[in-house]
Amino acid sequence: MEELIQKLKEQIIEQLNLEDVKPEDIDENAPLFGGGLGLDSIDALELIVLLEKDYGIKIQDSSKGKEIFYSIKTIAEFIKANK
Amino acid sequence: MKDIFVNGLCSISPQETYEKNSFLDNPINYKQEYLKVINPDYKNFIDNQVLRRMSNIIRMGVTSAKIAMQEAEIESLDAIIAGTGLGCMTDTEKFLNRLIDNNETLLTPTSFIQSTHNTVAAQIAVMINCKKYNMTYVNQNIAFELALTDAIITINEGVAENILVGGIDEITTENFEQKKRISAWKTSEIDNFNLLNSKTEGCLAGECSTFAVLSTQKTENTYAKIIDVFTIFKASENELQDKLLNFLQKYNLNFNDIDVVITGNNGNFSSDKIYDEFCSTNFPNSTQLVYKHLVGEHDSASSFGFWIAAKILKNNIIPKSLVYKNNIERSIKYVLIYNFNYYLKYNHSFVLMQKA
Repeated sequence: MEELIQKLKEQIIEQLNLEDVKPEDIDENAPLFGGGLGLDSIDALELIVLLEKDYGIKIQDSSKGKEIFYSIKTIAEFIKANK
Repeated sequence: MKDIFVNGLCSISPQETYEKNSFLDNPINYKQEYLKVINPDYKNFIDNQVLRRMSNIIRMGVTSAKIAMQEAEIESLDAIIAGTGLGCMTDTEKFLNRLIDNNETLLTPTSFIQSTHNTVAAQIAVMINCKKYNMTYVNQNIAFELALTDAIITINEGVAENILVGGIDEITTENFEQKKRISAWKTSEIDNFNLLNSKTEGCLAGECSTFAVLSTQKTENTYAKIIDVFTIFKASENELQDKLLNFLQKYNLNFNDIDVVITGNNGNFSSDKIYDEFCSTNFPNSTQLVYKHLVGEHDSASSFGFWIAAKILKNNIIPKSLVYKNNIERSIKYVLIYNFNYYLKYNHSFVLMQKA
């Protein structure tokens, strides 16, 4: 799990061009949207593509999106449960 | 025709040009295949959260627009008009490459959103909350001239007093390699200071972003006055001479009244010859200046010629690095910028400017 969280942090930094942000700066439990990283709806689309492309996971139920993308940890748990 | 003044100006180019008082004092000597801009620290101009999504052409476009507005001491605009040949190439290539790599699925939104030609003008509008006329001209080497023409028409219609006008283009490795296949560029690295002595075809590629605030009111910051723009698609030398004379006569001017002619010589032998012959015939008593050896060739390069003309008309100083022929010392009142498509030898453009 720790390894997956670390990998996710690096992928998100790269995919979203989070300049000046290092993996250690991201709290895995902190909310990704409206919180410290200040991500928005375009970033949410980028994350959906990332999950599908890099992990082969498609989000079938869009109403679960908020829950899945709450934090790095919730994304990691979703990947683990669906891979 | 209403008076139109250039009240704010900025160019981000392969030379040190974005600072207000810099005027090619120490031009940079490059020995490479193409020239990239010298980037200012964009964090001083654009919020970090917004900056992370912007490719370099958007960063330089937005920043040069902001600096031009600061210089003009203006916070709101009646119109934003841009000209570009190729628009946001980095994002376009990124999007198209992903389209191929992912077999037309799983496309990420950011590069698609930012890949359109009008992204720069749109981003400027978003940043300053300008909901008025916003237009981008995509017309090869006359894109900037058409943007200027639109600004002149819009001001003369009385619907705008302050307009931001600019030219932007970027060079990417992929685009450079593609155009190399049609022999658009020199075949090897070249010393830009010796570019114009070349006897071969092809030129040196480059990029830049130049924005200017045009206003109906003259201020302490005014650089110059724009008289008019003239473009013609195809013309023989004689036709061009006649049409240009007609254009000048509209403003009671003749060839002899032009103090400085800024031409688009770029090291491509056959097109440089056309500029040289045209200037020797029609402007034997004018100073001829060139600039593409400093910033490289790109579709909106003439916007850098515009930046030079405005600076010269304000300060009556000509940097030595620009002088090509006849450095005649006299008070400079009229400057003419002449450019055409060096590869296809069409789309001739003339921008006529006057001391304010």
